[in-house]
Amino acid sequence: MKMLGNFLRVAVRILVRDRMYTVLNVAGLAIGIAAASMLGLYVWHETHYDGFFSKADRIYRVDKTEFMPGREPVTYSSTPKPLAPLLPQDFPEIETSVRVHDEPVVVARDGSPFREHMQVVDPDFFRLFDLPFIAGDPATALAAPGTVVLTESLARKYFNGVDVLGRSLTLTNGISLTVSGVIRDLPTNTHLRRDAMLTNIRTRLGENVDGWFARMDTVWNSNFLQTYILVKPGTDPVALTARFPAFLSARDPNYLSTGTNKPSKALVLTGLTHIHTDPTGVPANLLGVLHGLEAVAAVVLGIAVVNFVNLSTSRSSLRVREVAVRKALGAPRSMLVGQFMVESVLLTLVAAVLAYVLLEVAMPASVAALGIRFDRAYLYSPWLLLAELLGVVAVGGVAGLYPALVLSRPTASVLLRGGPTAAGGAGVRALLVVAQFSAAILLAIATIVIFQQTRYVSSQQLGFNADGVLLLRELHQPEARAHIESFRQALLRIPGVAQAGAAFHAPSDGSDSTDNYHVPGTLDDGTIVFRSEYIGHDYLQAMGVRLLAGRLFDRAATADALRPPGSTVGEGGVTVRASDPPGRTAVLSWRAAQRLGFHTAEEAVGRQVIYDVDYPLTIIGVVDDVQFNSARVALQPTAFLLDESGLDVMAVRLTPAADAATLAAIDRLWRDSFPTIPVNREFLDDHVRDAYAAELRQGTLLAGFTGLAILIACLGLFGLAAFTAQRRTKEIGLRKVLGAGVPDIMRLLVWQFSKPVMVANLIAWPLAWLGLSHWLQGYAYRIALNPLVFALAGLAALLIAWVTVAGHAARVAAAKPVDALRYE
Amino acid sequence: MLKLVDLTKVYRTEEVETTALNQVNIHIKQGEFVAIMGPSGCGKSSLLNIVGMLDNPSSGQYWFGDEDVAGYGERKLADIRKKNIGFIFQSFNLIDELTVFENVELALLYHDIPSRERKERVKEALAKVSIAHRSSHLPQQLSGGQQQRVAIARAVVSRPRMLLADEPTGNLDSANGEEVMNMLTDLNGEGTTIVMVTHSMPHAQYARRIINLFDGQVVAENLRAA
Ligand SMILES: Nc1ncnc2c1ncn2[C@@H]1O[C@H](COP(=O)(O)OP(=O)(O)O)[C@@H](O)[C@H]1O
Ligand SMILES: [Mg+2]
Repeated sequence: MKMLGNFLRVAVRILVRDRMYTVLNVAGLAIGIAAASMLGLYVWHETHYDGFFSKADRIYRVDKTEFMPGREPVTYSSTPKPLAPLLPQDFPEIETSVRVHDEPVVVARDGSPFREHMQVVDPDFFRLFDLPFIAGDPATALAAPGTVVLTESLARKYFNGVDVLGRSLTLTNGISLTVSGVIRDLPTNTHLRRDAMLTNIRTRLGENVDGWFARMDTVWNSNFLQTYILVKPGTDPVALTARFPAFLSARDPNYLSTGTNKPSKALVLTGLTHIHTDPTGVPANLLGVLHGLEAVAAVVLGIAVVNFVNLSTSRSSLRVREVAVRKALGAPRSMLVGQFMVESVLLTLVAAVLAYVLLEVAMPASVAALGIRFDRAYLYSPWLLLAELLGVVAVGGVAGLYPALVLSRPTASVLLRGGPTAAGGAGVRALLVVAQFSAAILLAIATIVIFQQTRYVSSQQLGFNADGVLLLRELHQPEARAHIESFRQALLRIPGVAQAGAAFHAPSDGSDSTDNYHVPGTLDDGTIVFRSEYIGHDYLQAMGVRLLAGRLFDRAATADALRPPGSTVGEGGVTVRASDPPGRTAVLSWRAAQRLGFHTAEEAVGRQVIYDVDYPLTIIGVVDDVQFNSARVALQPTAFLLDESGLDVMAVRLTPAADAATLAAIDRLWRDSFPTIPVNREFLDDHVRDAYAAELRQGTLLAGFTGLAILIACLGLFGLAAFTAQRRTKEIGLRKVLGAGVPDIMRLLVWQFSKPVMVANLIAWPLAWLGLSHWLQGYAYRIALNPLVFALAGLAALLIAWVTVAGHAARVAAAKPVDALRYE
Repeated sequence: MLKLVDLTKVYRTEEVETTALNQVNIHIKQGEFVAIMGPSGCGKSSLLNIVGMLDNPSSGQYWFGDEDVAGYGERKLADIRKKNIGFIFQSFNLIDELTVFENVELALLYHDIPSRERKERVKEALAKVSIAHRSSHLPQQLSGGQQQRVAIARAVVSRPRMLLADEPTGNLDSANGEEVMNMLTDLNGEGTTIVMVTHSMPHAQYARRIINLFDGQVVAENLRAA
């Protein structure tokens, strides 16, 4: 104990004496630990969704995989309404099932309408999802229709308090619901909607929903709600899944077994805790991204640790004489090792404390800046503290061990003569610097390429002009449905509005409606699949889609005329199905025309194409390819079909002269026309960019951490440069005595640190090339890797390294040589 | 060649102020061989460092040719130094990581001399101090006398007009010391001005003039009969 006190005193004295070294070392490590903890916490948060529900391991969501001829199977989380009640009936191992349907409702507060999400659920909802209640009883809160369960925030929003059992919540359509429970706000790490109200599945929410919703009770081919099951303990989900096909053929009248080259489906189970990281229907690979972030965290921490080891060992080699004297005076080896370890662990501990402070400050800020979900409570988790403590011992130990062993081994006489250690460590240090800069350059290149790719996919290949287009949504609401055309006319009268046209969906909405098409007289083998986009008359014009040949839909042209809604008698008296398009014409994208075998756009115009099995359409025009999805998937050949019965979103093209007054006028017009529907408008380019929000976020995250990695690497380089300058003082002094000028010495020192960075480039380039090529494979539309980016990143690293060491080099170079020679 | 006028050097550290040189006036002519003697701490090395332009005086003038270099910065001094002055130290000051040949070559690296000529001159210098056969050895593999010969070769390879030697024989036995003194005499005979600090009276006798320092001041000058 007496020894430890002595060690500590000496350690503190040395750390204070070598202030710059202490600060560099601690700062680098602290930033590294904070950054790695931040990424680690984020990844942990993302991979631990929904685990807090007490029955999480027995809850599954029933998802549905669709098999369409000529397409890759796709899994969706939406299921038909009749499915859930039958599952516990047919499978004894299923305790209960719960359906969740999200229905938009409008609630008035102080005279303004607010759009809210109403989760329409089965009464057993809280048996699966045991969310804590502030008021009410989870067993009965959803037992009867006409009640509503609110979150704490929603209760405060509408009633200014949480003690609101029995109060009524009134929707703008006049329907009134009784509050039967108030739950705590949901934590951030759940896939359930956090801002939703909950009501019984039999609650009546308005005439526009109720009829349809009741009809769905027996409809098996309409998939729109989520089905969750709670299984008995010990149930094997694989065995259960294997029995679903038999269940479907017994229960689903439309069911066709798989492998028949006809549309088919299968039910699959997704464990509750996997829902977030393994999303259905989305090509985004969240787990891959998370693993990527883990790797980045490891790299940043690795760079920081290497720094620490590097600086510690280099500094300790300046203490050869001290060690020699201690040895000569009889200090045993174990004591010297102990001394170095104490110093190192002490330093690491300081860094860890600093890191923790940094984390507390930086994490909430970055979470807010990035718009990611994160629970602050994580910051105070004892696991984090434990992990940091373990890290301190490990990193401090390793960093202390190396110099301890190297310096304590040789005999005092060897050390007094300058020791063999001095030269030996330099090679290892150079190697570590190479490793650090390789990692930093790799990250830098990755960051640039990810940003390039994101910009590319979000700006290229759209096929329409997204600038200056405003999207107004929710025209499908019953209050608006009948007035779309008059609303459109009114819009056109607002100064600053150039064009307006409506469609079912806007680009990047994630809609995915496809059908089979073929040219009459060719074999319909179901392999030609186009995206069907249902649009109004003026939509393509408003979107600025380029016409290649023929014409767009035209009110004056009789062939485009629609059969009346609900009519089953088509033009010329033929009987048509309800699912057939109401028009007789189609506008094709260029890719669709090519797929049908036309060589030019002109050749396709006027020809016929068969929709589905036997519904003929005349091709009236061919337009440029349009990216209605995200660029992760290839441009789909598309058929635009005229249908005015389901228009929901109005695309409004503004003139360059449009300003805030134009937007205000549009909002005013909306409120005057549809007072019960909240204004829901956004710019198309924002909307399209939103589709790449994940990539942008990843890019920003990566950029931030790349910056940190480079910063830490530079801190280390700075320290090493200072150390080298000090170590080589005598040699440099001699060189000057022998005629070396300031520039000669500068060149010498700068070159010494350029070499490892240049070698690092040679290592980082091929690795980055391979890794990024692989990443880009995930995009149907991707940039070509540009060697210039690689060169630029490398050059930037070199420049940064130069700037970092130039200060030291200049100081040493300009010093009077006598100072150097005295230094012995 | 050089003239020191009221030259003073004061070292300031946190607590103490040391006057190492106090109003020194010395005139050294081209081709002279001057020995500087005096007890430890009297300012010999300080004087030599200033004469060698490794350090600036605190006050006074230092005329080198027709320039007062007393106030010059490191860049300008480096330039004059490079063209005119060679150094020999008591502790040899060879760079451990470089071979004998490279140590000597170092003195020409900053002189803009083509590599072929450089190699020739290094060989020549090494031959002159009879160490050519060890040119690929590292300094630690040589005896003290051999190391000092390498240091002399390094000092003269750039053909300086003036050679400054701070106790060049201090670490050598008498036989080796004698040899070094003979070399310096030869160099002086070829026209190189030599200023040497020494503790040894016999070695000082090789010089034409002996300057005695005490407490930073010149206390006596003795001319040796030719
Ligand atoms: N860099 C320095 N800083 C402070 N004092 C110095 C420095 N160099 C020399 N001195 C002091 O100046 C005086 C003269 O030193 P020096 O010229 O080395 O003497 P000598 O070479 O004659 O032994 C001594 O008292 C010495 O302690
Ligand atoms: Mg001295």
